[in-house]
Order: sequence, then structure tokens, then C-alpha cells
Amino acid sequence: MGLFLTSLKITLKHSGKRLIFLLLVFAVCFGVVFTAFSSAPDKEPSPLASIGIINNDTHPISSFALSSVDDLGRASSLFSAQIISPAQKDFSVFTAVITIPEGFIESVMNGTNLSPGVEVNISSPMEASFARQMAYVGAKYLSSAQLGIYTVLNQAQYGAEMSAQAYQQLLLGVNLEFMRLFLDRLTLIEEHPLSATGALGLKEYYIVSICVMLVFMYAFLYTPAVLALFSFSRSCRHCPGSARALFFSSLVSCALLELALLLPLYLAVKRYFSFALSPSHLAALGLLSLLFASFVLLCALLTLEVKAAAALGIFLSLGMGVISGGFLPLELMPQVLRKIAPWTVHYQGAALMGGFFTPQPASFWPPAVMTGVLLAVCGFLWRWRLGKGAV
Amino acid sequence: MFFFTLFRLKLKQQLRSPVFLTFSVFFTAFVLGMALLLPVPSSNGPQIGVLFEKQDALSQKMQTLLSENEDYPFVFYSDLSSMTEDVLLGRLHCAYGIRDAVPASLSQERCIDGYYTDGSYLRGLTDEIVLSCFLDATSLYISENYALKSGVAQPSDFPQMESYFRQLSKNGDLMKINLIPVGNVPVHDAPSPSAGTQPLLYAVFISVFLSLSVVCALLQGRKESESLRFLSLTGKRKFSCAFAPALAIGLANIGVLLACDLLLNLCLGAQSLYSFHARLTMLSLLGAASSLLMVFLSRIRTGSLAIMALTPLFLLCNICFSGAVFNPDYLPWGLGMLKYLCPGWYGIKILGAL
Repeated sequence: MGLFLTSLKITLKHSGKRLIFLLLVFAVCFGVVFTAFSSAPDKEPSPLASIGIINNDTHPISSFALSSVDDLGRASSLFSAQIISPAQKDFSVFTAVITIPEGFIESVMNGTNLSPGVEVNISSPMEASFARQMAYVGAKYLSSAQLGIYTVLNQAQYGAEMSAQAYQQLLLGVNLEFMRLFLDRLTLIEEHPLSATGALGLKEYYIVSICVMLVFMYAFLYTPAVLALFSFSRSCRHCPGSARALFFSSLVSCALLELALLLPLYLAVKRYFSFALSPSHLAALGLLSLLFASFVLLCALLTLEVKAAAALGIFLSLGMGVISGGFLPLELMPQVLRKIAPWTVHYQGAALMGGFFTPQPASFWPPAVMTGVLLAVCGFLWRWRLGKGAV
Repeated sequence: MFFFTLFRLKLKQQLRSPVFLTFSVFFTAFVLGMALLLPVPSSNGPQIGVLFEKQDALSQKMQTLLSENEDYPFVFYSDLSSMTEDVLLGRLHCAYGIRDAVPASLSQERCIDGYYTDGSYLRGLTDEIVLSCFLDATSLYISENYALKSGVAQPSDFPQMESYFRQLSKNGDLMKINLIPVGNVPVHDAPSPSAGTQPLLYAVFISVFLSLSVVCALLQGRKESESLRFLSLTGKRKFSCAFAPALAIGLANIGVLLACDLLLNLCLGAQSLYSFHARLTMLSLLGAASSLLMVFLSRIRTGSLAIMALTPLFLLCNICFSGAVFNPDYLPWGLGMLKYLCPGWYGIKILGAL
């Protein structure tokens, strides 16, 4: 116990500078990511088609229908519309100008169907296509309603065998049915928003990914401490219990250093995203520290050299990043990678961290089992390397 | 003669170096993985996916109406998961699933499932296009239901109603739009393909290659550079000792870069955005820069661990400020100027300019 505590104290004392360096690196990285996300617009602005409407129809229904022309619902992100006078018709201002002829509403009612004129400025093709499509859509709504209404009226033989009142009622009823359908049309669509990043937003997803990748890339910073303890363990390998004490000392020191890195990161992210602190988050942080520490130990014991451990850490973190959704969300990747990813340390680390942003914390079992397996491999490597006498 | 002997020996040694071989294999695998995994968005403008849960007269009519659209191509699917996957991958702008039954009262039940992402900016228009075709295709059913409800028709009258409906839709004087084009269609030199994910791919390509060059140089150690230094001092052949290894490393690096680029463009196929000579120029410059960097780093005596520690930071900043992820000009406090320190930004500029 004495050996464990003393070696732990010495290791922690000599790793302070590295921890500060790592905290600075993370501060710079997250500064870059947060600034980029908060400054850059979420998406490229889409072109807006400006439509002018000249209403020559004096029918009251026509004026009433156009009074709410500025309320285009979902389409308002693509269009802006306003009533204009013929003198205001200027194609440097408007993408399209719709001219409603005199007697338009009357013609719709009596079936003569006067055509509205739609002048489209084709010098801006995309906006012109928006305006053209919207004009076709409007005509299609009107013609399909007319088809339906005329079919019903024809079936009723235009009231030939009905009383005038019953026919008026039928006429009004069928018109109202199609009007109601038109007004309620958007409720026919059930929305299913899709996101490749699942329950996490894009910002949260990439914060988690970058954080996990950086932790793995910087695993080598604690390698000298692990190697020093390993070297000391080799020197006193004949003392009973020393190997175990020093192995656990290196594990605990790495885990504490990882925790010292993760805790301020967690607090900063918690403050930024305003989520509540919960015991499950603290447990997840503890497990993450152990997972990351076991990875540090593995890199160190596989290479037994700082530069080689650094290269291994960078190679592994980049490789795991590619196949476990570090660069691109897993939902966008082939099915086979979605099956491989859960077997990587990156995926399990990211899943644990992602749990901070969702109401339901991530399952602790898979990362806990993975940590256990990694530690067992590290323990075996420690013993085996000591037996071989290699340093 | 000494120069070429040294060059040949260094090239031979570099190609046999386990570190360089590991670096080359890893980089090739990384680039290949990225090229195969990055989704390629549709280059034919926005496409809209449609899935009919049931194939019947209604779906046939709606399919015909949607196919007639001149501005937006509609792609028809038979599998929901592949359609939603294509929306996520950017191959489709958005998608719609038309449910199998048309209810008697349309306003009380939802009949269409809309699948969107945050980037589906045309949604306001595509919703209207799909709805107008849906209401057009269902208008006969609506009128039959209304006629039945109001007592003017029996189910036995439906064939007669349908016949009248078809006749009217074919020959009737329905609402038409009088479309008048104004102005001139702008003349473009050539249709420019969508950049898609290729700038990001090359930003990652450049950044990862430079980062791995740093790691490779630091791992290869100083022993050999020390002997070259000694040779230059004793043999008085400073020029050869300085440039022959750099040229050999540069040549080996350019070889790896060209092989990776070839693989990358084989994966991209016809979607390749940048011309061959633009890529060749950029790769040659990158190979030269990385070889100088490697020669320099192999000679430093102290601080190799600090350089190694700064490499991931450089990698991240280089990708972020390359202009492939976001436009650095949007950044406040003049932070966008950091792009001038990023080789990735220069690389993408060269690729785009030539």
C-alpha cells in the first residue's frame, strides 16, 4: 500500500505540467469549435423569390383572398409576395408578377376560367423556377377542385331533379368541402425530421467526437509516467506485490489525470448547454477516466517508447475515428461499419459522453466490459514484459 | 555523382524504412476509407424521393403527375429505409411516403409522411407540389365520397362519375396559367458541378498527410541526420548532403501522394471535381513541403515531444480553417485570418484555381 501511495504521489506530482498543457490544448480546440459553430450561419441562405400581384378583379372574394397573401406558411422561406399596382411592376425587384384579370372570380364560378397572367423573370433561373412551380401548383389546386365540384354537380344533373334550395345547399357544401381541403392541406403531411446524429445535435455530436479523439491522441503525454513506473517495477520485480502495486499506481494516476482533464471540460460544457448535474454523469465521468487510462496503459505497454506510443495513439485515434463516426456520423456509413463501431474504444467513449446531452444516460455495461478487457490485457502485458525483462 | 549516389541511397533507405512503410500504408488506408465512406450528394440538383405504400390507380396517377414536373426530378422507391438513408446521405433533398389508404375525410387523417433534414430548404415548395398532385389524384375519390354522403349518388353510380371526371379532365375548360417569360437566360461558360464533400476530403487529405509526416520524421530519429551532418562537415559537400536526402524524401512522398490520389479518384469516378493538373500541382507542392518539414524535424535536437504534442492541434485547426467545413470569413475578431496559416486552405485554393 505504501509503495502504491508513494508512487502515485510522485507520478501525479510530475504530471502536472502535462495536464496543464492538455487543458490548454482542449481550451484552444473547443474555443475554435464553439466560435466556428456560433459564428458561421447554420445553413446557406436559400434564394428568395419575390412575387408581385396585380389584382384587376373587383370582386369582394378576390380582395378578401389576397388580403392574407403575405402569409405563405412553410413556403415563406422561399417566397415573399405583395399586392402591387401596375405602375410598380419592375422585374429588377420582382421575380414574377401575377396579373389577375377582371372578372376572374366570376369566371371560376361560372366555369369559363379566365387565365391569370404570370410573367416570370428568367434571368434568375432558380427563383424563376420557384415562382413557376408555385403558379403551376396554384392552378393544379384550382383545377382539381373544379373537376371534383363539376363531377358532383353533373351527378346531381345540375339540380334538375332537386329543389332550388337543395341544389344551392349541395353547391355550397361541395365548394366548402374542397375549400376546407385546400386550407387544411398541410395537415395531411406528418413530419418526420431526420438527423444523422440521432438524439444529439450536430454541435454536441462533434464536440463529443473531437473530445474523444483528442484524448486518445494525447494518450502519450502520460506514457513517460507509466514507463517510469514499469521500469521501477522491473527493478524491484523480486519484491512480492510490487508489480501489482505499481501497475495499479500507474492505472490510478492515469485515471486521476484523465478525470482532472474531463471534469473542467464537463463543467464548461454543462454551463454552455445548461444541463443539470446528475449522479449518472459523475459515474460516467469515472468510467470514462478508467476507459481512457486503460488505453494510455495499452499504448505504453505495447510500444514501451514515448514516440512510438504517440504514433500509435495518433494512428489508432484517427483509424477509430474513421470507422466509429468520429469524422462522419455513423448513420451515414455502410451497415458493416455500424456493426464494427460498437467494438471500438472511440465508440464507447463517445456513447458515454453523448449521454450527458440526452435525458437518458448511456448504458454503462458495454464501456465497463471494454474497460475490464483492456485492463486485463494491460495486466497481462505488464506481467509478460516484466517476465521478458524488456524495457 | 556524389549527389546522385546519396540520393539513390537515401531513397532506397526511405522506401525500406518500417516507419515510412507504416506511414504509407496507414495513409493509403485512411484516404481510401474516407473516399469510400464520404457520401456523394446528387450532382443533378435537388431530387425528391417518393414511396407509395400501395400500388394502385391512385399511386399510378400521382406518379404520372409527379414525373411530369420539369424542374424537380422525382425518384420513386419501394423501400422506406433506403429512401430515408438517401435523404440523410444528401442524395435526396427530401422524401415523401404516400400511405396506402385514402380516408373518407382527408382533413382528419394524415396521408403523407414527409422526411426532411435541416438542409431541406425547398420543403415549403416540395410540400405544395406533392400535395397538389395528391389532391389532383384524389379529387375523384373526394367527389364520389361527397356525392355518396349527400345522397346524390350510390356506389353503382361511381363508374359513370369516373367517366365524366375523365372526360372533363381531358377536354374540359379548366384553369390554366398563362406563363410569360421575361428577360434573358444567363449564359454560363459551363455547368459547374456541386463541390459536395470533396473540398473536405482534400482538406483532411492534406492535414493528415502533413501530420503523419511530422510523426514519421520524429519517429525516424536523428541518428541518420547526424551522420549526414558529419559527412557535410568532413566531406565539404554541404549542398549534396542537404538537398539529396530532401529530394529523395520528397520523391517518396510524392509517390505515396500520387498513389493515394489515384485511388481516391478511382473511388470518386466521374464525380471528381478537380482537374488532373490541379491535383498534380497541389500534390507536388505538398510532397515538397512535407519533405522539407521532415528534413528539418529530423535535425532538431530538443522539443520533439512538444512538436508531437502540437500535431493533433495542428491537424484539427488545419481542417477547421481550411474553408471546407465553414467559411473562415464568418469568424469574429479577425480569427478568419488564421486560414492563411493553414496549408489545407492553400491546397483547396490551388485545386480550385487551376
